[in-house]
Amino acid sequence: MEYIWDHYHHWGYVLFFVFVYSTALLFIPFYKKAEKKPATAYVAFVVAFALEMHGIPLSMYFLSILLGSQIPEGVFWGHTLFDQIGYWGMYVNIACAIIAFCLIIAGWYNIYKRHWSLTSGQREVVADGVYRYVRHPQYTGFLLLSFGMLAEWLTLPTLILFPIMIALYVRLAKREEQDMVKEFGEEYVMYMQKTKRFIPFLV
Amino acid sequence: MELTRMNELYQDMRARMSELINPNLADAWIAFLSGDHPKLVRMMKHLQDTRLDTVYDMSSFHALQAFYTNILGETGGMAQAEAALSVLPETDTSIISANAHLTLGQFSAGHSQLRKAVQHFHLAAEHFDRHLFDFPAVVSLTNEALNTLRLGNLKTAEAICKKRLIQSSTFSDQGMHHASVLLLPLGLCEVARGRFSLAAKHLTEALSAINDMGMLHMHGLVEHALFSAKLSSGDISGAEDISNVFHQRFQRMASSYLNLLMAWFRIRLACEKQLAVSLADLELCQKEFEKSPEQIQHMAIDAYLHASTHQPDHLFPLLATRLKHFRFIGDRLAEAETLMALASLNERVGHVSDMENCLLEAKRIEAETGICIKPYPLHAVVQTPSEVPSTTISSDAGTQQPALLLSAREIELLKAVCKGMSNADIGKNHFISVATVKWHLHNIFGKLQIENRVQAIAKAKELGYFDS
Repeated sequence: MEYIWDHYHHWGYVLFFVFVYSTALLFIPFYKKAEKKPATAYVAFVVAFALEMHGIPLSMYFLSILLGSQIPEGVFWGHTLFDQIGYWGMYVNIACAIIAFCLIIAGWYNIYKRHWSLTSGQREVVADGVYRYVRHPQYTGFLLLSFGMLAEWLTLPTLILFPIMIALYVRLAKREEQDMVKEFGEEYVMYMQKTKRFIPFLV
Repeated sequence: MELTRMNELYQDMRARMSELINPNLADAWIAFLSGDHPKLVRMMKHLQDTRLDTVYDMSSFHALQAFYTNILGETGGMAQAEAALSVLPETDTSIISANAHLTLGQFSAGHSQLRKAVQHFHLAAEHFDRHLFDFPAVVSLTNEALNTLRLGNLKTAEAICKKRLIQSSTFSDQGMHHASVLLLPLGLCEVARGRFSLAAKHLTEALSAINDMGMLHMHGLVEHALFSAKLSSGDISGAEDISNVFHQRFQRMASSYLNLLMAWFRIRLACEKQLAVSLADLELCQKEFEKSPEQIQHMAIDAYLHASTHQPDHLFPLLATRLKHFRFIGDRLAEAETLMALASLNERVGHVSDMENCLLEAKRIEAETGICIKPYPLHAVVQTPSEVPSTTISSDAGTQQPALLLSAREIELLKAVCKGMSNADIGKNHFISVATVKWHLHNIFGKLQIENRVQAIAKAKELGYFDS
């Protein structure tokens, strides 16, 4: 017979999950201190998520104080809204993860040679490839990864962390854009007018 | 005849300004606008001691002071122009405010802040129109269109000009005449698009309007553009006429810009008619290169590319710096011009892939903005890769001395081959890629009718190149 507790205390799964999702961070160079905060938030997000999913269902424990022990599967434990949407949460997560990893790696690929690895005088504005559609594909990637995790398994810590992550990444993106305008002037201003920040054609 | 029209305008301006500011200040402004420098200097000295009570007086004085500082060749004009605007309340829309915006627009444009300049010119035109002050409004619109064109927004610039031209055509002839100045930016847009005959038509009308209105400072710009348009559409005699008239009018003015312009006219005409270019003219252009890279007039580079046959190695870093500068300030027109110049230089030294990159980027600018710069004439020495050496082994080539067939670059590389250098070494020493080396050698082998390096060395001995 399958018990709930068979699903938890799998620390190996936790570690594996955190490891896989942390590889995304390899593709972002940490040249400035300001860039560490959102990345830290992301790692916290991933760890919290992994712990809840395979380690200890903290949200469930917390909510049971308020709601008693009859928490239906899918409300802060199990796949989010399992009774309503079934495994769709998981599918959304997989889709988001694939798109996100593509964005992050493509972002790295487009920009590493022409910008990050060069000294100040040699850098160029990168406006082709992924960057033709979004200005910050890697941040979009990270936010998408987090959203995917939320879609699969909603937990209290992650629900609280997600808006914080969005705020942190938006702030970081705006700060980087200021630096870019200082370095490249009108060329970057014109690029900003043509291309949206996170979601192509929308935001 | 021209003077009376302008005089009427100035009297009208003076009357309207005196309603709002100190009459002496208004007089000083008219002295400045009409180019009466001695009177301006006198009045400025007098005004330094006058107390300026109202905000309008202060603003007007700061604006005039900005221009005066500029005339004296001192810095600090920009600060004065900013002050002229900041002393006024934000909601003010008087002609004084319009004037402040116009002044600040001019200074912003001069300091390469194109976007800011466009904003100020736009507001100036709005405020002038509100008071039905037609001519200054047209001047503001002309400047707005010129800078919008520089930013690469051809459609917007054309729209500004056309809208006002259509509006003015419904009013008196006077109004239409003022508005004809807008044919200058419109003509420049057509030049940018490559529609040279249409551009020439617009610019000719603009020139007559500018002549009638006595707007001296716009002259160099319009003749330069008209001359280019005429040459590019093949009307060499028309271009010559422009040049002659210009010489007659401006030969005796001691302006380095105008002298450079006239030298450029002469050089381009000489090249078109395949006559010898005057050394003095080339030297004048050469002097231009002593300025900092961003300050050099493109004319000098253009003259060089048409007339000079020297090795252009020193021009590469110069053009690279200029390209970066133009990208920074957003001047797409200058960016496209510089890219084509770079492409021409690369073609001259045989950097085929670099040339292709430059042309690709120029194409990208064309796709984005519509700016289409005419490429420079292909240099006789370097051929495009599609015309592979087999065509050079013609009967003509056979009768010619093989030594004369090789270009300077090719001779250099042949000597390098004789020294026993590998392709990679040659590439390193001459700062070209291995692919380019191979392409040059392919050409050389074809021209000398040989097949490999060993034969090349033998041939070189024959021709006397093997002298190491």
